Amino acid sequence: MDEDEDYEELVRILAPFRAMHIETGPVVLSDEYVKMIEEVEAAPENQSGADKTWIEESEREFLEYFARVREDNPD
Amino acid sequence: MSEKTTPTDLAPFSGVARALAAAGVRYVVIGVAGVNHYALTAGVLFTTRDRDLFLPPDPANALTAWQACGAEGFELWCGDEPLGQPLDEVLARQVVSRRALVRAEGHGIFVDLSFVMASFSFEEVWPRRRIFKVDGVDVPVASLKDIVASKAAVGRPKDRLFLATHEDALRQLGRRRRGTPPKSER
Repeated sequence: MDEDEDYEELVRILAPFRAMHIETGPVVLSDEYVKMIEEVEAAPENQSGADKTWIEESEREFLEYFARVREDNPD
Repeated sequence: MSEKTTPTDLAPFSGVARALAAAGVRYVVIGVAGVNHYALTAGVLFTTRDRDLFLPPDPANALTAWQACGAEGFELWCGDEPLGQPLDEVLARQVVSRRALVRAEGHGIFVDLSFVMASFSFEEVWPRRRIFKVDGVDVPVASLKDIVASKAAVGRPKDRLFLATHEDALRQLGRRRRGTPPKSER
């Protein structure tokens, strides 16, 4: 299959998704969701002064992991 | 730890946060990165290279923020072009009057310096912020409720996807904390 055929195949596969109606606009949050947010905010771990270094470390590890990923395709 | 640390010694955003704090810049972290600060387990972290910062429409504050990012080795962009030179109050007034977003790029992350947070003014969210510690630096983060409400107000497809995923993640977290298995496992 050459590049043109690859491209045409991709366009054909994506056609139904391009035709999908995607909703946009304000979302009303459910009462349950708002209550869960309030519970998370009220958690002792989420009060001012809490150490959140682990979050940035997780992010850095993620970036470093994917920076090391290399394509290894025997074909 | 020495007073001056290189960006690679710290998590990607920590160097910027340290520089902003030292310069006395007023900002709060918003967006997905802001939400991540409220994660109670790594399982509910959203991976992102973006750090969205909400700044008041104050040219002097914005200028200080840009200079701090520049000093940390970040390149500054406004739209598709490098932010003009010189970095001065004239430029800052122009950018603020247009509420234009300035992006600081570097060290594998994007720091978006914005004057806009849908549905909120800076002075509304500022008193409700939490101040968390990251690598020993104070990082002001908008309240989780404000960040989520802002995303709901915009409602772009990516916001809708985020809200659905976040709601589900919180529901699962609640079940685990209560020791209740999901319906599919009962």
